[in-house]
Amino acid sequence: MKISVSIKPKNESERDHLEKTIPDLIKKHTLPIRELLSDSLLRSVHCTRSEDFHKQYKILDDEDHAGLDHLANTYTSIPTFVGLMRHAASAWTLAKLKEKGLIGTAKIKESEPATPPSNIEQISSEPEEESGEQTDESAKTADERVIERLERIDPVAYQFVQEKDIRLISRPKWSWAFEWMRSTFDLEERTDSFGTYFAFLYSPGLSEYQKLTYLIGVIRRDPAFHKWLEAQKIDERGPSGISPAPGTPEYRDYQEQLKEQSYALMAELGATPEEIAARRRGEAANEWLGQQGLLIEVLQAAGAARQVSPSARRGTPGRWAAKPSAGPGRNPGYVPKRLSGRNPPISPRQKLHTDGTAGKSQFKPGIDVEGIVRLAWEAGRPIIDKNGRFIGKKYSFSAPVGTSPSGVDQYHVFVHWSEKSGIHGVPTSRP
Amino acid sequence: MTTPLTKDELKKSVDAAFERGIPNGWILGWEESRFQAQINRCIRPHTVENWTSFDYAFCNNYEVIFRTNDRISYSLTILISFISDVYCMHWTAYSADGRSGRVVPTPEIATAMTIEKNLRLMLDELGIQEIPDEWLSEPVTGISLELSGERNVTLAKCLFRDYDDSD
Repeated sequence: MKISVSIKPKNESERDHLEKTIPDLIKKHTLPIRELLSDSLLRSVHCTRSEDFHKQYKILDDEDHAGLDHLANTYTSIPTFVGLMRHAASAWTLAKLKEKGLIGTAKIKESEPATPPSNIEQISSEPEEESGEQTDESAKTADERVIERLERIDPVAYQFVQEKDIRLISRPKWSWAFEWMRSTFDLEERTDSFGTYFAFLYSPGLSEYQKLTYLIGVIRRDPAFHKWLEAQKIDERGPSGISPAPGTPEYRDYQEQLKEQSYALMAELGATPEEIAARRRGEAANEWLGQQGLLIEVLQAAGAARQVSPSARRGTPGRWAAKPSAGPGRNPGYVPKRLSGRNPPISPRQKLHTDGTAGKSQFKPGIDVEGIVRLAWEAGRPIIDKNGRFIGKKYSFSAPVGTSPSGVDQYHVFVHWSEKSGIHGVPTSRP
Repeated sequence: MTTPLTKDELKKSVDAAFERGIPNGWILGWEESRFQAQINRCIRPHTVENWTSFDYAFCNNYEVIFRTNDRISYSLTILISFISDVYCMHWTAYSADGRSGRVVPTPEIATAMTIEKNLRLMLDELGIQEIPDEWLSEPVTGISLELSGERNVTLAKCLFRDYDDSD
């Protein structure tokens, strides 16, 4: 969160006065968020420093999991939470300026306009969370809330949880294994009088948010989950982060809302109605063309690059698979050769962008990922850091090739390069 | 009214941000188009391209492309970190086919100097500080990144974007 105050003093004496007063009033990193949090608006959260959102989150995480969870559960969206904090900070700053008699000469600027959330009343009417040790009953409620959020955020993983009877179970604090295993999270098969179930063991003290992200991660890394997906013939794009799940009516509304926002932004930036209409037509055509349009473009571009991608060229099992050889790890003292930039292998890391890993952009299902990544590598624009180091290549497509964890279509591919493991492409950025 | 960050303070903020692992902007809900409207106002009549992605990156990534008549195009890259209140800006010159490029000083294009100045003023007003070039390669220890691993970790990689440059 960032707030700057711009003040135009009327005369010399007022300027002197302001110069003495303002630094005491508002200093970077010392905006007393805790004070404004004493307001009923945010009474269930504790925070000591303003700084950026990430740090806020960490501090909240250290001091009061329940507070963040309470807000996240109420709003379901971290950005809304940040908006709320920003609004509260503006109100606090204004009040202080008024107290000091400076109101009227001061103007508050924010990185984004502060809009009060519409459901403030809902929050202020909630009872405060009890501090101290959690009771069994409240822990159970928290776990149920995690499962409810899982249903909203990742319906496929939720379905898996239901079918396999996966239960959230806290590791006992007295367990000798707890300290040793606190960094590991796994599914453990157990049996009770009703039959077999799976226990998702988590360390005590985890926030609901942490439990949810770990649970999604464990499920989506579990080979059993992928086998189950195949058996169920579910073709899905992975978790959608904080946005609605792909395929749901809410997701379509969300996509429409994003489009309308982009048209509004175009208008704000001075686009003519004709340009906006052309954009609307283009997006409608893209939706209709879908993967076919993308395929045509890939083939055309591959031809233009004078080298068809290996997967498109061979049609039969290609040369990558034709000559299997012993792995280099068998030879002690073996130093791996630096890879050439011509036809480098696809790095194992590529899987992270196709297997539904949480928190990673994913290629859309049915796309020839290797072909696209090779094309982007061959025909892409090199990206160089300020210190002159080559860091990868970018290439743009006119149809979406991927989806970000926030649920937005992605039209570009960034190819990362490693001299040891080869290349891997990441769908990236907005249209 | 803001005091410039020292290198040590910056390193401390990086340590704090990575204390519990690599922050994931997608999961943390970082704003992909943060400051885009302000940047657009500074660079008119050009428009900014938003290349922000939080896969292996911790910043907003904007680019402004300037095409010239002499078969070279210039790209102004602006990276604004979420880890600390710092940014970095640089120019890259690309060949006509876009297949090769190199980092260059501010090009002698009519609007380039003005746009750069406007952007610096705007970011300064927002309290975001430009990171000195010599800090970018400053080694950072005790942090392991996804692509760099534990070796070759620098301030630039922790603040802006990670990449593999293993020897």
